[in-house]
Amino acid sequence: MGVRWKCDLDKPVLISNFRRRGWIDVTAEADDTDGWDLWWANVQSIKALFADVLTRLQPHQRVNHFPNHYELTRKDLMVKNIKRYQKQIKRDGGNPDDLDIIPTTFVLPQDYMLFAEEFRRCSQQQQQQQQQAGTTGGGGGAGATWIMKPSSRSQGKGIFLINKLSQIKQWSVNSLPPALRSGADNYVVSRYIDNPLLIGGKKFDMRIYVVVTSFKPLKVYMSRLGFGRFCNVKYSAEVGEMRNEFMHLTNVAIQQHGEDYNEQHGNKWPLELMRLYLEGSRGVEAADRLFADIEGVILKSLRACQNIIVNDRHSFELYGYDIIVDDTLKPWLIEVNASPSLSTTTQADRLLKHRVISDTLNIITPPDWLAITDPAALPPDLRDVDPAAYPFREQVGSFHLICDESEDYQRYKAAQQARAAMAASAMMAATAAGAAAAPAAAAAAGAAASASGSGGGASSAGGSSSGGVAAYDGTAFAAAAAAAAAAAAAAASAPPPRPVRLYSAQSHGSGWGRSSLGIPSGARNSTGSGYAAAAATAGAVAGGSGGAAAGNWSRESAAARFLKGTVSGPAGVGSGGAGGSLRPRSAV
Amino acid sequence: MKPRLSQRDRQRSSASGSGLPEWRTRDQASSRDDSEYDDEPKEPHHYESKSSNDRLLLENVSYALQARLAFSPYLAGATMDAVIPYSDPEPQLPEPLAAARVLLQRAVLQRLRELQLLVEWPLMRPPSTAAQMERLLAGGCRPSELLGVRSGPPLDHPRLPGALQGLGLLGPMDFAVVLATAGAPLMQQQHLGKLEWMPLSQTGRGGVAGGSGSGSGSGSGSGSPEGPLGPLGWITWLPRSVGLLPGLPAVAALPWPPPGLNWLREFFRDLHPRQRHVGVDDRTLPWFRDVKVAAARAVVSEGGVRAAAAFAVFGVPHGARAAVWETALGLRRPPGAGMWAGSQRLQAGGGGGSGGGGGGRRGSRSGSGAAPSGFGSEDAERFERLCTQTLEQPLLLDVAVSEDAGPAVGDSEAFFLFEETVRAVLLAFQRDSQVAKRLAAPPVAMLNTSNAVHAVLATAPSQPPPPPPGKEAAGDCGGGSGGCTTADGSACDGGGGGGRHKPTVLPYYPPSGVLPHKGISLLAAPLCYMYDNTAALYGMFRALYCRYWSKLHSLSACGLPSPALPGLLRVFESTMQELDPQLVCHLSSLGLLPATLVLPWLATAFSGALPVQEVLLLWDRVIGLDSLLPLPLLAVAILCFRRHVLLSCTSAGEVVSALSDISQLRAVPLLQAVLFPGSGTEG
Repeated sequence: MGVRWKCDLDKPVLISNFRRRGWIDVTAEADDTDGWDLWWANVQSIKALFADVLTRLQPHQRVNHFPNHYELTRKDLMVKNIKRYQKQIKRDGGNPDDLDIIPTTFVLPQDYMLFAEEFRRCSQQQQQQQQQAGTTGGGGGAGATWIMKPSSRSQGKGIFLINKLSQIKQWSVNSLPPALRSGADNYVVSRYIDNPLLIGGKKFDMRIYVVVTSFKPLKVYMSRLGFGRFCNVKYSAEVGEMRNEFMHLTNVAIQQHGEDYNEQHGNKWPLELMRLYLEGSRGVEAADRLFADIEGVILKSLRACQNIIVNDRHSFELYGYDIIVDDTLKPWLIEVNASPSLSTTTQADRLLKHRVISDTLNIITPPDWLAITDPAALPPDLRDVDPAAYPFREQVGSFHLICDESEDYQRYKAAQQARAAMAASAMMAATAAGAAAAPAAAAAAGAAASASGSGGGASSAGGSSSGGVAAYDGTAFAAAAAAAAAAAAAAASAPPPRPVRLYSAQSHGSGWGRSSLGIPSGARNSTGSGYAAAAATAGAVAGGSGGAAAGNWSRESAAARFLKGTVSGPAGVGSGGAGGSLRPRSAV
Repeated sequence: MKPRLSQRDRQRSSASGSGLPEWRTRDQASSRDDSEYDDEPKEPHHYESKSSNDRLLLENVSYALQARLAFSPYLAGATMDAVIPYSDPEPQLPEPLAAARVLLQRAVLQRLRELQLLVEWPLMRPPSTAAQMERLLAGGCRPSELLGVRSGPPLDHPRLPGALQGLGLLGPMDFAVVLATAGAPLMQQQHLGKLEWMPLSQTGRGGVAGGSGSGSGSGSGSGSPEGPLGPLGWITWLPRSVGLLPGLPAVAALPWPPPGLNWLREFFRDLHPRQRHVGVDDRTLPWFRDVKVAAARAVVSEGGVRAAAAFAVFGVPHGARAAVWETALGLRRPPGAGMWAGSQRLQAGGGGGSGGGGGGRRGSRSGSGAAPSGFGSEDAERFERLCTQTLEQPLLLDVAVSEDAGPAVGDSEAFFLFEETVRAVLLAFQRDSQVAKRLAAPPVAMLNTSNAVHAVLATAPSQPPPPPPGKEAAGDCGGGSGGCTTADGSACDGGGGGGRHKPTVLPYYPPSGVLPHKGISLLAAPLCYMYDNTAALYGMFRALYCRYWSKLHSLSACGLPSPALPGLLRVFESTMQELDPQLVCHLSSLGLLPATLVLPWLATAFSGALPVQEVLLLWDRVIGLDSLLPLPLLAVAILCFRRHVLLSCTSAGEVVSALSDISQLRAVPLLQAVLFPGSGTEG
């Protein structure tokens, strides 16, 4: 029994990804809420699905949107949420400047008066600056440039630039009776970023792919794949060019009608090359800082609506973030798309989107999900692995984890830090041992102990964490680390030959990282009886000793500990980790 | 008549939207055609019909060119057998190579004529007047910004139809042909005389990709018209008999024995996997990059040329690459020595550039301490001066340069943003008269301005025209204080003493002596990832070209440790034979000579074939070892790495398509694998 999928969008990148996995297409089959495992739905289906109160989804079923995804992806609602979050931070005594992630924005027509005030203020400021600079610009009373966008349209439709208030008279408060001011005509007006970073003289924005698997606790992956979408025409801030949308708007839907549109590359520049260019021309630090800032922008925008979004556990979301970078290398959030374009223009585009979808599917179908849904789809190297011991996935294909608020992750991270600290101290010990100084070795061991202690303190369960570190795996090194407090000389006497290699240890073999599915026994009555039997066994074994079960490699016991782990919480997780320690280290 | 009609419409539709001057044909017949068919409905633009349309267009253009070549008044008196005297002949050049060089010179001559007929430009266009220059620069633009614009007012380059874009005077194909034919026992001398060159119009985007063979013996007409064969499509153009040769015969005549694998292992000992390398270890060890960046800063601040080169062998982290390369190439002086170097440089410049022997060494002004790049304002001024000269005196070769940058850079996903930068750099490079004397290896053909053939070609007296009266004004509005420019395009960048410079007879055409080889723009494009500043980019490109890349466009017989193209091919052949004779046999049986397969990679130093990061990592090794030997070795490594695929190929077309995309490969691990098999690329 494979994974059964439904897909509302007729996009080759999606369909081919599903097919390649050998999953079963049930798109055409009758609407049966139980008849699918994964549904790549369009917005209408989502609305219908979650509007129906009677529908109870099975715990393992997954859909690609959150019920009220529009809170983040509609331009006006995003602005509202971010502004509210700013206020909240200010109330809590935080620094609201940290949240300066979107250009100044107002929703029209509601905020027209506020906007008019701000508009005049900005224009005055600009004129003063011009006078100070001595350039009596040819604007002739024109103020700062703002950009008008319809709240809920896409692909650059209906967007235009303004620099006079009179240009948007029809959005002023009194021009329409309230009844006619429906949501359809809602616009947002934002300060236009008139100093964008230009590469080759052209303006661009970045499309960045982000997968959110849960809002509470927030868990976010960001892809290193992505691209910059470039304008065809060289950028100029001249007032006379304000209507040239080939110069100002980067949307592919617009640019591909430009005369210089190139079918070979579609004006898209891979994000990795952009990073390379920035490292070369602006320095490594600047490039690193920019991409860290972009992660920050993404996280802040997600936190802003963390409490608004209905955190349905069946949902995940693939967002397409649009980000503009200005010439000081500050990223600005322009828009978030819940259904980023999956149509492809060029060969490279097709490859990129195919990989993004493939990695997204890998994220939302973790091994423990597959283990109960479609054991055959598990990668061969994971088939025999205890589900409790599936590696924690910080990196899934091109995506890497940028935020995980779950306790599991906190524990995992603390353990990792402790390990790094120990590796560092082992390096110190190794060098110190060369000098044959016993006190130095003792000091190094003390550092290791304190490091692991602090790492434990960071997590919620300090004691179990450091114990877990000791049990993390069976190598001599970890054992030595566990014994560090007791026998410092032992740790110093057996340093690894190349301590630096320890950094590269990729095995996250503990059980802390698996996503908690919380699947009750008999969750999937439709998939063979084997699992029901396993679940029954699980119930029986659950009360027994975890250590005994850990030694057993049969699938039943694996499922048993898996269930126990989810039921009994941290303690069970700890024993799962201990169980994992018995197996040999794999895939370092 | 019908095909002609459709192709003409296509030309129009490709250019009509732009409002820019399109491909102009001034002869009466074609303009009559235009007016006659103006009312015809435009052909709908279908992707499928494009390639066949392109082919029709190409055939028509080829035909027209050949017809006009026969009757052209430009060519009265100049026969095809006229040989351009080589200005700086290498006396010890062995016979087959010398014959190959003559053949290439003939090809250049023919293509140059064709180009001239195609765009109807003389070799030198009338120089811009002062008023024109003033108008050009009125907007406050710097000349370097105007230079890259693809077509339109500044340079007024003709906009060729799509299929003709990217044409080149000399390409890897031509090198393959001459190296295979000269000195071959199969080919008698009389065959050489009758050797048919791929017409210029076929060297463009449509011709090469289409593989439409009207040329000499295109044996395996592998079916699909476009795409799958990609950049190597021309291989099927080679005569089939080439595949029967044991190796390139001209290359085998080199006077030195090929190095064995053991020699290479010793030469490349620093690449051994027991060392940590950028490009291998930084992917698995996150801290390694930071360590390398810190080390690179230390190396740069110390300023030792040898230390920087030794550092570069192990790879340079990208953020520090520009500085390390500048140090290793001697473009940057340690802080404190700046003033001294500057003054010495002035003297050297006054003495006629006597310090140019080693190739590309130039003192930068004392800006290395503060400025992020080692290039100072003096270099920027010089670059702007060269750009001004380009605007003032357009050359026919500018078209070839401009066209080379079109498809190679403009269509590439990695480089398209830098098309204008690359074009400006190459155009300025052509004008740089300092280049000729710094080249590490003599180019294939240096056109001599005093030559009679050239005089005929130029439709002008052999003496350059007198400087226009507005010379001073033109120099002034160029902005350079020492901007003395002469109308004949000769550069005077000898330190800015405007008064004592007198206009000299232009020694070479173009002034740099370097003909725009096909793919030369790809040699400049990766540098765009290192520099924001075009002048600094130009300085780096010039240094690299003079020291290394000129050898890729030369038939010089210079030997180890840094051979030129024939030597590189020889190393490739011998290493290939030593490592995998079975694969060589198999390829030969398919009519393919391995060396011809890898020639395009070598000609662009793998730029455009490998991803940018890998190209730069490879060039790190070139600079670090001060030799081009990493290139043929990587070519060997790629063939060996793909050997299973290649051995299962049953036709030349399959082999070519199996090698057409190497963008997933990583350079350094491959080099290590071929040099030190079994030691394992760890991590």
